[in-house]
Amino acid sequence: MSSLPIIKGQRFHNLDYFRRRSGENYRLLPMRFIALDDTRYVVTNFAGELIVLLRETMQQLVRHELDTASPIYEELLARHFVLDDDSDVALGLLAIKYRTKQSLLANFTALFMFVVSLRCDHSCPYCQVSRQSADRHAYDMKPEVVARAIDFMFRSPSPTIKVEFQGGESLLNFGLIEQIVAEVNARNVVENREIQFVIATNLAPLTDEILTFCREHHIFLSTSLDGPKSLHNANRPRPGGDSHELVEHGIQRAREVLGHDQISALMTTTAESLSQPRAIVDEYVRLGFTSIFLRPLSPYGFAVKTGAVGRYTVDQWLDFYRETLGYIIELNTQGVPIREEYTALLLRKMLTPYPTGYVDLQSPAGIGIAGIVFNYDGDIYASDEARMLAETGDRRFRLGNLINDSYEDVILSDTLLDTLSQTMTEGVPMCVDCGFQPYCGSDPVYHHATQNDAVGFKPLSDFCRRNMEVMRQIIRLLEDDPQSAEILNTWL
Amino acid sequence: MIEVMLTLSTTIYRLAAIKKAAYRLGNRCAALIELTTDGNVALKLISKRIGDSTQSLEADFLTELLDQELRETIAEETAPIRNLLLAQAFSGLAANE
Repeated sequence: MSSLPIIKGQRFHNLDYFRRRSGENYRLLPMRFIALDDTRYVVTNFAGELIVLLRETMQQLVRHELDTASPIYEELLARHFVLDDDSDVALGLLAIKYRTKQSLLANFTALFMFVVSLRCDHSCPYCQVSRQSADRHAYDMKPEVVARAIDFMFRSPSPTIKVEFQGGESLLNFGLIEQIVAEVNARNVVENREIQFVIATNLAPLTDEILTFCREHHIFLSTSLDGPKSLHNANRPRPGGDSHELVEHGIQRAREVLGHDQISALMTTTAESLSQPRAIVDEYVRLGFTSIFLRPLSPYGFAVKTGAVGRYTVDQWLDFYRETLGYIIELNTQGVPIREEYTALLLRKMLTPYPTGYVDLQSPAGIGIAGIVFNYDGDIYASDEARMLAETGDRRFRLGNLINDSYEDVILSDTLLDTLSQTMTEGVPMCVDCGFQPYCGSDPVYHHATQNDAVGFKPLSDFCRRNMEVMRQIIRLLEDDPQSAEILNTWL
Repeated sequence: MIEVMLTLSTTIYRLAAIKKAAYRLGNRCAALIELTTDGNVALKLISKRIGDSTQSLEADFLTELLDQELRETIAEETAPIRNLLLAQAFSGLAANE
């Protein structure tokens, strides 16, 4: 048995240490807070660790009136909200934790999206891309663009690179995907990066030949599944009205050939989804998924033209989120392993020291520096949402063109650098003081699209309201519902 | 539309806290902030919402103002440590040495 540690030459603090003392001897460390409800604050420290405090406790803390012999003081000390003479390692440790949270910035761009075609066989009214009909090959990426895109991609210093094929329906230009995979792999013999390929597809054009290629090159598939057959087919019309049948068959075949976990699915919330939270989750469970991503509609592309994006409010989506999350947790208590991915992402931000790399929730924003998009025509966009915006005529976040502009032209462009500096939530009005700042982001494309301003007026921002309420819900469950908290802790 | 008029002492509330509280409620009201001749702040909140009440708007503003004042206190006390932490996090130098 090991002996007790000796601290500053003593095995135990002297008696005086345990006596009640006022807080005049402690110093506050940088922290932010936001109301959780009428009686409590969520308080986050410099490195993003959180604690929930009663309002009066927070006021005592800041006024230096907190009893330093109290358990809450010990907790605040241990979690780097305060510093005293006995905690001389705290600053160094806190700086390391902060540095770890920012560590992905050093690797720079790791996600490159190739829009291999805008053609699509579906005609979804909520489409955020503005697809073209399946026979319009003018909207396919050209070979000369591909070569420049690969050159550009390998200029990134990131040791890991994800190549994601997007559309339209990307598999309608599968020949180009084969070519890009071959060229990237050939270049990587010298580059020696860790490469992961992902094809975003509705699975309708999937063939055995495509699956064999995916297996040979360890390609992951990402598809769309909006819920049960009636909802999915209503959301995602195609000739024959068989989108759900095709996606279900595609998921099954992909798992047989590639392996169960080599395909994931995303859902998009439409007005029709709001009344079907249980049916949507049940469909994911039925099809063998262990995760679901509750994604609201984004205000871009056809979603704006058709009015789909305006058919429900952020508060309606939040009700849907809370109910669906509650049902997912209920299923977990019954032994059904399924998690909600956005919640899991935020939990990792809240409860672990590691960054997530999720583009929408970063400061500075992940545009350009976490992910970048090569459009079919060679245009380079700061994010997938930026090119969606461009397809309806707004090129505010177009960074350049692969044929005409160099890597330096693009990465050092005023369009990118000005936007990045504006999206540091550490300096954005309202974000700067918000207790959720360490977990959140400042989506400039969203705010430009909705408020014609990349920073946006946060009191009117649905992005802000949605994320704040999602985080409040998660923290309420962690604090007030032990059974839910136990399950959420398994999602890390 | 209802209006709320308040006179706030600048010896109790920082001007930054008053401005931030008004900004935070910007989805609900517009604010006119003026310094009075005796150095206090005259604040007029003009509700943007139909059906909002004077008492509710005033109460919510004052609650927010106390939060913002608390934040200003924290920011003031922790500014040197924040700068030290940032320097240490990105330079690799030991702040304690």
